[in-house]
Amino acid sequence: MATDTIQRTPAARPHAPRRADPRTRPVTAPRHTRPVPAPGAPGTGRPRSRSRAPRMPFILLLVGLLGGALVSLLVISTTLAQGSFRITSLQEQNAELARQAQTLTNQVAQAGNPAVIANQAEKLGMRPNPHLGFVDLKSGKIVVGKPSRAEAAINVPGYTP
Amino acid sequence: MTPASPGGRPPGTPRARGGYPPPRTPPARTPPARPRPARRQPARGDPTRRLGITLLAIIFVLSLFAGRLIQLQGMESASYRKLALQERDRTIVLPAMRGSITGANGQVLAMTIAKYQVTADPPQIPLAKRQRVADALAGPLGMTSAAILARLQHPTSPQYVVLAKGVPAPASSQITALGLPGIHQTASYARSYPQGSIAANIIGFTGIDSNGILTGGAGLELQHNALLAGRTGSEQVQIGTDGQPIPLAGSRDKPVVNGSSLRLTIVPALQYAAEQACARQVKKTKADNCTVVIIQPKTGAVLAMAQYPTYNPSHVTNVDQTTNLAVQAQFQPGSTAKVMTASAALERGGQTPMSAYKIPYQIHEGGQFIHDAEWAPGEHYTIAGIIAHSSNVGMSQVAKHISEQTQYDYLRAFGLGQPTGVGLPNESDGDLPPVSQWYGDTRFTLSFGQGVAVTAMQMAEVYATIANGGVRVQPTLIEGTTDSAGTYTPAAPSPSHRVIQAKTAKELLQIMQQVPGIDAEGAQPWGVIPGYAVAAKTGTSQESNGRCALCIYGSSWIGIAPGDKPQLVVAVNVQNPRKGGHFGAVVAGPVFYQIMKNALAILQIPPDGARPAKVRLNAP
Repeated sequence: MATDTIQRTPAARPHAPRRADPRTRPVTAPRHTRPVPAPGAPGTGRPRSRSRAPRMPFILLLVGLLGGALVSLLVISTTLAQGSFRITSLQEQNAELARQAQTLTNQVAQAGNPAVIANQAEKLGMRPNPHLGFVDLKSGKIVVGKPSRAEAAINVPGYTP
Repeated sequence: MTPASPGGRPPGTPRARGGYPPPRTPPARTPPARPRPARRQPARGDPTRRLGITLLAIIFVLSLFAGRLIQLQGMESASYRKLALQERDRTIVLPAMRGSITGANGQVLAMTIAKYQVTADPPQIPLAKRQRVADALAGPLGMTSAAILARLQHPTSPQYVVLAKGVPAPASSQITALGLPGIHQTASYARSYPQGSIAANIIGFTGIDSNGILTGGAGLELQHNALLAGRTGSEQVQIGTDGQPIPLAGSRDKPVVNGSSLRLTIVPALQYAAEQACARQVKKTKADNCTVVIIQPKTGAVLAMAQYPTYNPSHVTNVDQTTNLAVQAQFQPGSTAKVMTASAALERGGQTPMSAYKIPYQIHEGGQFIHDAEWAPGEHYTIAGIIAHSSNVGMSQVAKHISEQTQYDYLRAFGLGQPTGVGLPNESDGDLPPVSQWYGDTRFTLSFGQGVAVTAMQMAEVYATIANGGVRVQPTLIEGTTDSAGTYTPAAPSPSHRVIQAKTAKELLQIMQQVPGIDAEGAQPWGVIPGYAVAAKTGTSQESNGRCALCIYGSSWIGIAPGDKPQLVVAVNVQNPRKGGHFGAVVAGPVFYQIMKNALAILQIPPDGARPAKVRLNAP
C-alpha cells in the first residue's frame, strides 16, 4: 500500500499534470482576448479565490430559511392543534349544556304534569272545588256560583286560614 | 497490486471497464498502439450514432412513462380516485333530532332526549382498580357494584361489555365527571313523554327502526312521522392514519335538518280531567271503555280526546292497547242521532219544531215493532218534545216525511260513513249502509240511531255542526308547527261547509236546551250548570258484542255550552256498563257534568247568564 501512495503523489508522475501552472507556462500564444496580467502584478497572486463567492453567508441563509420554515410550520401546526383542542372542548361543553337543558326541560314538563300537580296539591290538603264560581272584576261581585270553604283541612305550610 | 508502468496500463492488460482511455501522451513516449479489432471501431468512433441510440432509448422509456401516466391519470383516474377516497374519506351519519309535541299552552307532551349506552373495555381497567370502578358506577347506573364487577370480569368479548343501556343524561354526566379509565358512553336519541299516559291515545308512541332512527308507531307520532323526524345529515371527513379527521382537509357535508315540532289544540289539563272522569266511571260501572271528545265548534279544534283504558307511551307492551277509541272504535249512536233525521224533516219534510205527533207505546213499521224506552203511551209531542223526550216512536213517524235518500243524504252530510279528517291514522269510516242495502225498517231504526255505526269523533262533529250554526268545520288536532329554525307557522284554517240552515241549527239548539231540565226532573241533573244554558242530548243504544246480538248497551251524553254562543261540545260515550244502569243520562251524564264544569273553569268561559229557551214540547 505504501507503494501505491508514493505513486499517486504528483512528484511520482512527472508526465501526468493535466493543467499547467500559470506561473510556469510560457506565454507564447495568447489564448484569451483579455490581456493576461503579468506575473507578479498586484492581485494576480490568487486569481481563483477572487472569483469564488463567500459560501458561509449563503449557507447561513439557507439554514435560516429552513429553520424559519420549520418554525413557521411548527407554529401553524400548534395553532391548528390548539384551535382543534379548543373546538373539541367547546363542543363538549356545548353538548353538556344541551344535555342539561334537555334534562331541565324534561323535569319542568314532568313537574307540570296535571297528575303530578293534582297529587302534590292533594298532599298539601287541597281539594278540587265542586262548585263553579266567577267574580266580576269590575264590580267585584260574584257573578255565579256559591263559593264555599272546602271541607278538607288546609295543610299548606306557612298558611293560616 | 502490481506496479504499473509509468506510461499507464501495461500492454496487453484489459482497460478498466467503464473507465476513460488514458490521457494521450506524446507518441514518442508511448509504445506503439496495438491494432484494435476492426469490428469495434465503428461503435467507438461514431458518437452521433451512439447519442442517437441513447436518445431513442430515453424517448422510448419516457414514452412508456407518459403512456402509463395517461393511463393512470386519464383513463383509469376515476376508479383510482374512488379507491383513494374510500381509503381516506369517512362518512359520519348525523341523526336529526325528532321534533317535540306540545299542548295548546306549550306544555311538552313528547320530546326527544339523549340517552346513553355505557360500555367497558376491561383490559384498560387494571385488575386492582376494577372493584373501585364498579363501586363508582353503581350509583349513577342504578346497579349493584357486584353486578357491574361481574360484567367487567366476564365481558361478552375480550374488549367489550355493555354495562347499561338507556342511561339518562344526569347519570351520564356523573359518569363523565368520574373520569374512569376504559368506560365509554355512546349517545342515542330516545323519546320522553313527560305527561305520562295523558293524551297517549292521541300522541302515540315511537320505536327504533333498522337504522336506529326514532319512528312513530301510532297516533300523531305515526301520522306526522316525516315532519317530526326531520332529515338525517352526514359529514364526509378525511381520515388520517390515526383515524382522526384531518383538520382543514375539507369536508362535504349534508346538513342535518332537525324535525319540526307540533303544537296541538289539546289542553293537557282538560285532557287530564276528561281522562280522570272517564276512568272513574268505567271503574264505577264496570264498563268496557269510555271516550270523551271536546271540540271548539267554531274552529274545529279538538281540545281533548280522552279514553279509558289508555296506556303509557314509554312502556308499550301491546300494540292493541294503543288504539284510539274515539276515532277507531265503532258503536251505534242511539238517540243522539235523532237530530240528523229531525234536521232533514224540518228542512225537507215540511215539518216545524211545533209539528204535532201522537205517540203510542209502540208502532209496527217495516216488519218490526218499535217502542220507546220509557212507558209514555198516549202522549202528544211536538217534534221538539220528541227530541227532548227522546221518543223512538215519535221519530219513526217524523222520518216518514222524508224519502230514504234524503235521510241518507243528511246523515252523510253530517259526516256519517266517512272519516272526519281529524288527522289520526287508521280512522274508521263508521258504517252507514247505502239506501240500496236498506231493509224495510232501516229508515226508522236509523232515525233513532240503530243500524248505523259511528265513532265518538263523528258524533261530536254532528253536534259541533249544530253548535256552529249548521256549518261543519273539519276537526283538527294541529294548531301549528315550529320548524327547526324556530319559526312558528299556524295551521291553515280547517275546511268548512254548510250542512243545515242556521235557522234549523238554532231551533235544534233551543230544543236541546230543554233536555237538562227534563233529566233533572228524573234526578239526573247532569246538564244543569248555573249560569250556562246547556244544550244536551242523551243516547242509549243496544249493541252486539260478537257473542250475542243487541245484548249490551252503549250510553252517550253530548252537550253544548254556553247555550246562546256555544264554545264547547263535549261528547261522552261509555260502552257496556254492567253496574248501576245503562241509560245515557245515568252512565254518561255524570262524566259529562264533571268534564263540562272543568272545561268551563279551565278555559275560563264566563257564564253568559242565558236561560234555556222556552220551547213547547207537548202538542195540544
